[in-house]
Amino acid sequence: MSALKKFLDELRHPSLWQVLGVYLAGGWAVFTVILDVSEWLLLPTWVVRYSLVLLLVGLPVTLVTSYVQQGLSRRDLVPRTGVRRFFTWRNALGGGVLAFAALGFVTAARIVMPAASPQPAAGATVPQLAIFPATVRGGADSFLHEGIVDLLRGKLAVIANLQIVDPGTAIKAAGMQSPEVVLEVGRAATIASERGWGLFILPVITASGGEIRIQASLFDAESPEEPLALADAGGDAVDVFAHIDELAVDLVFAQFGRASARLVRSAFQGTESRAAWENFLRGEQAMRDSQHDVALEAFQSAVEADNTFALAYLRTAIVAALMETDGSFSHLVGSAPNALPGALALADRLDERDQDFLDAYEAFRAGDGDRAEGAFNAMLLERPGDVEARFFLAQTLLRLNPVRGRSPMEARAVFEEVLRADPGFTCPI
Amino acid sequence: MASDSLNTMLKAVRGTGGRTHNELINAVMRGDDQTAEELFALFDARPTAINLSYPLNIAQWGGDYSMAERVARGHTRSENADAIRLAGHLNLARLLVGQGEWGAAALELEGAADVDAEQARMARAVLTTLPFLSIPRDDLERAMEELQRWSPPVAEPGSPPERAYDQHARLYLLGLLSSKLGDGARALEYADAIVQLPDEAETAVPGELATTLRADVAWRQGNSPADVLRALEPLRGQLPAVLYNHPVFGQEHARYVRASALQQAGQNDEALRWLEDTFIASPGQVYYLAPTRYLVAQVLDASGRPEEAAEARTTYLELWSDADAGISPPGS
Repeated sequence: MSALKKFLDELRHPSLWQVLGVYLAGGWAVFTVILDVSEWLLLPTWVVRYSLVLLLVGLPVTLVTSYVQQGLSRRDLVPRTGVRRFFTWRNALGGGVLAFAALGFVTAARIVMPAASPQPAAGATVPQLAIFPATVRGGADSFLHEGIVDLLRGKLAVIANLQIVDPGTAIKAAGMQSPEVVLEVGRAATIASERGWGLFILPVITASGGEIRIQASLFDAESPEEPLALADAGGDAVDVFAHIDELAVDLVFAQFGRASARLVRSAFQGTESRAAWENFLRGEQAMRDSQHDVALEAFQSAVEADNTFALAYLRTAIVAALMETDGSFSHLVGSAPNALPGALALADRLDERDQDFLDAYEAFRAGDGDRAEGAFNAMLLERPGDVEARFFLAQTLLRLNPVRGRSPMEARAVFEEVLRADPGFTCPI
Repeated sequence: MASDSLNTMLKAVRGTGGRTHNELINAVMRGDDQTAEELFALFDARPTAINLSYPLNIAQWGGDYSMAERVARGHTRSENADAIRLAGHLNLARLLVGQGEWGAAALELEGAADVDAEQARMARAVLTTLPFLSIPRDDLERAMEELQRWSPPVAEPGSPPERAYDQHARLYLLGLLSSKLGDGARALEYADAIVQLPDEAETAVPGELATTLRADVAWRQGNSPADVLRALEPLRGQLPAVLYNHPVFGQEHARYVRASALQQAGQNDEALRWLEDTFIASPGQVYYLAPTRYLVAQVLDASGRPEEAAEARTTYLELWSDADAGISPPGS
């Protein structure tokens, strides 16, 4: 027998070990592809589960087929029964293809005809979700303690029928004295429940040797015994913002489904620059602390790091406006004249809420009281918990009512609503 | 409620500067002179990091002119910041005009001129053109000469936003002074010139200034109230945010003229609405309070509400108890 003939015979009649090896390698490759596709397309988790089941079921079928076919070649190992006709390579391969095709069909059907997402009944309130500051361990950057609230708020704001509690309101309500403090689930549930926030997220960030791990649990404030959803992400600490993006997608996917998770994945918050993000988050924190000069410089640094960062332009404009009534700050405020034009030029890079806010705020700045009042009221109809919009509605009434022949005292009730929503709201009185 | 809100805010503010700043506001609200003095000293050492206008505004808005005066005098003693000293002199001048003391106010304007002649010139022009204030002709002519000598430069990038309207403000104030000096024709020429000036931002500002000026001319020339109100019709009631607190652009002058014309026309409810509602917490509330109380008293008398009229008149008389001789709202 020539070497070539022997090799071809081996291929036609492989040993059981060879079949097992080929199946495991092929199965692993198929499973990896399914995992990647599933993650990319945000397929339901059961797709991966059933794929694994099919591959496991296929293993004994393949081994039996191999055994039967080897016996057939030797003619003495396997009796001439129906088993020989059933366990053929053709049947095994065809069965596998059919099983995966069926799984693909069912998956496609679920994607094309998704289960109806629950809509709030007429008159029902849209649930409010509070994102509490993270407990930060192992020397992770402390700005992430509050920063994750801003980051997740930006990502989750795209979910329909959900109101994200204003970051400053949630942070102050949590009352965490330092980033290392643990906010217990029970305490968080009480805080949320007292304020009518139906859902809350508790994040934990752990750093260790250049690696960072971010975990987040979503709870129902009324039954916080078990989280509704859990997610975690991590890796190189340098990529922390990418990890937080990943975490947000996973968390939303687990609770709100594929469509919402896709929206979250595609939500672009405005910058790829880590330096821009860091400065932006420091600016947000300083703004919450009423350190407007520090906030202004931080937002301006964010814009310097990425001059396409629309949200940083918008926040620069807002903090400059809060400061401009004081002549002592004019040397700082004067350096921010391009902030609002910058935000307007890049408005399509903002999420829907921030675009609405920018429209209303631009009218307010231009002194068009009727347009500003209408736009802020429209925002509040959709998002009654938007403390910042309510604050600027009050500012509109305070500043622009006199020139319209109306009393600025109309602002008082609105300011009081701001304080009821957030007793710690610290923008200028 | 305001005090409760403030105390809540004090607990919530985490930045040291913000907390101290709010403590000062709280001290002013409580009338706690000693704490206020200690905090002024603290702020004087860190003049660029705090906002001194709030304590002053709160005292003024609360009608506590004596506390407001102490706050402003504290600012004039600042050894570390010209800007604070200047603000002190200018605020004192406004407070004194609010009490009808034009002579004392003029002295504070001189003090302000020692620190910043340009700011003092603008403040003098604003105060001399106030619609209710009858002051010596010499002072009007001096303000006019100062404005005529002023040649506002083209606003540079990075300069405060209101500088873009310096040229508009100059013509507007010249127009009001001309009107007050009896030269209505000249004032109308200034009104026409204002709308010819370039306005890169294309705001309502030039139109609002020109309209106010034309209405002022009609009002001062004794035209019928209907004419005055007609002259005010083009006002759009728009005011860019950067100019809210600027006394030239805040449209208080137009509101006072409107309220006065409404009162003369016997439209008492409407007059009362403008007088009671639209000067609250405005930049010039401190000097408009007395004359608007005076007009309110007249409107209430005409409406058959003598007790309320007496109350409004008392406020006016208390505020202007030390007013210079010959200083009083028109028709008083």
